[in-house]
Amino acid sequence: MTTIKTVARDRTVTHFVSRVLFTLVLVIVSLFFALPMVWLILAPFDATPSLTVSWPDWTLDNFVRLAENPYAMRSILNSLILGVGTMALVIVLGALASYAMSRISIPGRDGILYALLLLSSIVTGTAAMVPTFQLINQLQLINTHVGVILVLAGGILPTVIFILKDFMDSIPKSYEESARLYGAGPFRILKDVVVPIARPGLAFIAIWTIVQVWGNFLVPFLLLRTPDMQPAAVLMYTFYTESGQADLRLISAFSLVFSVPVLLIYFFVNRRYGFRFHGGIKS
Amino acid sequence: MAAIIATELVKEYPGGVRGVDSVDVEIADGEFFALLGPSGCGKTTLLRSIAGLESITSGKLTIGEKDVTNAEPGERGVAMVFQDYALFPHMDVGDNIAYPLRIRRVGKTERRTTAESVANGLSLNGLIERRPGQLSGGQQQRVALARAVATRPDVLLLDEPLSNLDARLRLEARTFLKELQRDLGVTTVFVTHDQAEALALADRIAVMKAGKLQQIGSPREIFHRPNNTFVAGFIGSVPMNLLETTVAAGRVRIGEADVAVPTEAAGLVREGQKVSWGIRPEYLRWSTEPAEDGIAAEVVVTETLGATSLVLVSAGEHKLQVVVPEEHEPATGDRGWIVPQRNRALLFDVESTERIG
Repeated sequence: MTTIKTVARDRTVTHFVSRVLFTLVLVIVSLFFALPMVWLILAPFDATPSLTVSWPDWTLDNFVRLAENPYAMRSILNSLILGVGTMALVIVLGALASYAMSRISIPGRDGILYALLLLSSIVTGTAAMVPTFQLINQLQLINTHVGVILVLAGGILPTVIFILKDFMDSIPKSYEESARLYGAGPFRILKDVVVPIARPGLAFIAIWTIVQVWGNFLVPFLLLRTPDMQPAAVLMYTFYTESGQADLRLISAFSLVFSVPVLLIYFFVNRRYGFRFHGGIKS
Repeated sequence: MAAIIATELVKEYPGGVRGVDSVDVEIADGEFFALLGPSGCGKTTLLRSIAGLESITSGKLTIGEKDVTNAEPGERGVAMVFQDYALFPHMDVGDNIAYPLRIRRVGKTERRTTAESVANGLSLNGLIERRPGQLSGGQQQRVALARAVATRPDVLLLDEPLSNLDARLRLEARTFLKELQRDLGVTTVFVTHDQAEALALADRIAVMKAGKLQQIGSPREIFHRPNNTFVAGFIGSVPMNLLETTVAAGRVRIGEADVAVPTEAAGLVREGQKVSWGIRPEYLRWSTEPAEDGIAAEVVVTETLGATSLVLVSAGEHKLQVVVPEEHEPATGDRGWIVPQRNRALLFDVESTERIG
């Protein structure tokens, strides 16, 4: 009897210890990931922010200084122009292309899609830096938002077509055939039937595109030459003090301002349209 | 309203497969016409060719004296109800019904009024603001029908209209459909693989196999005088008995006995010709006493069908099915005679499978 009791007690103890250790590891891991977020929220309100997380010496001075910076607010606007512009282009072209890809069978269609997907990571990536610059230079679109939008949209479109094609595939053909019988043309069908049904997918693509563009550094850095054209992601790179140190007071305040619009857009789109990450209609 | 005339209609797919192979058919104005056949026989392809959803490879198609062989679907004056109903999930019932009118640029209030009156006519009262997903199968079907008839089409096409409904609802919808077609008087073509449905609904039936027409006729004609053994076997809730045998001394040999050659075929068969003798199980009688033209047989299996029983009997090397009323059903192993009804038997040529006479 006693031995059984001891074994049982030993088991409880081992179990307890393993639970404690497990929880501890989880806490450490979550702290590791939470720290940058905590810094992002606290540092902007600290009179002397450092690279460590500390209880702030509360102040709003950093934001006042940010407001005095001639390019800061302008750069957020630039980011919005680039984000919304690219998004609009990507949605229109992506919807048209994926619909066509889904409905018309071209020999080697899947091959084309995969090849595009593979190459797209190069188009906006470091590897194609020089040719991209050359191309935009030839087109005389250096230091214009249009140039940046074209390059970014070109890089994002293949992925978008790939994802949207799945949505389009899941729309039964009989819906379109039915509309066709009543005399609707292809654009009418796209507008009345396909787009409304694929709307959750389009909403996801819209927000995803904006997030991609918002955080992109390389392309605007490469193609925009003057600070009044640069988006926030690039401008942050110029926040240094006279002595060449990173100006943490500006950077911390700007980081917070930088993250707010994307969050707002996310909540707005999610509430208005609702996301779905895959196609599929209950039939 | 309009008649449909197809002349040597061919639909060939890339690779040379013919979905519809040289079909000639005339569908009269206001007729309720069925395209019947097993799956893959080309009946849906023919329907879609009439609708304009499939391009026609060769031949000619006219609807109401207008050549529509190469016309766009929207220009043919046809409306179609799809097998899955194809109701737009993002529009309510009213908008679904009024969608064809929206394409024709009819004003919003007029659209809504028309939609409501059509919906009420199809007993969809009070459902106008529901989404298709909130409706039962039968209601969805009626919405699809409402959308199709709201435009007053010349031709109504139905693709397997009853196959998505459960068995009980199907009977109800069948009657409803027939009534609606009578009221509207619209030329209607429907596709089905269910011979009972075709017999019950259609004024005329076209039986198809492998893209080719096998027979066109009224349900009664097709049931009583099938053109070939395929139609004979396909039509009827219990398939026709088809026994391969030979003609000997002007009579047809069945098991140990022989029966007279059917009157229409008399004089058209040679001595020793290989033929199929066909008779429906409903036209055979089970007798416990010898009778004229009776065939001695032994009961192998009996299946209860409700008011009748289906009895499988063997007569020599031949096996036949007989429908027996419920009080007279024999037991397995019983011996007796099967007696064919007069003038109900048919004779088919074994090689060409065509009916003789």
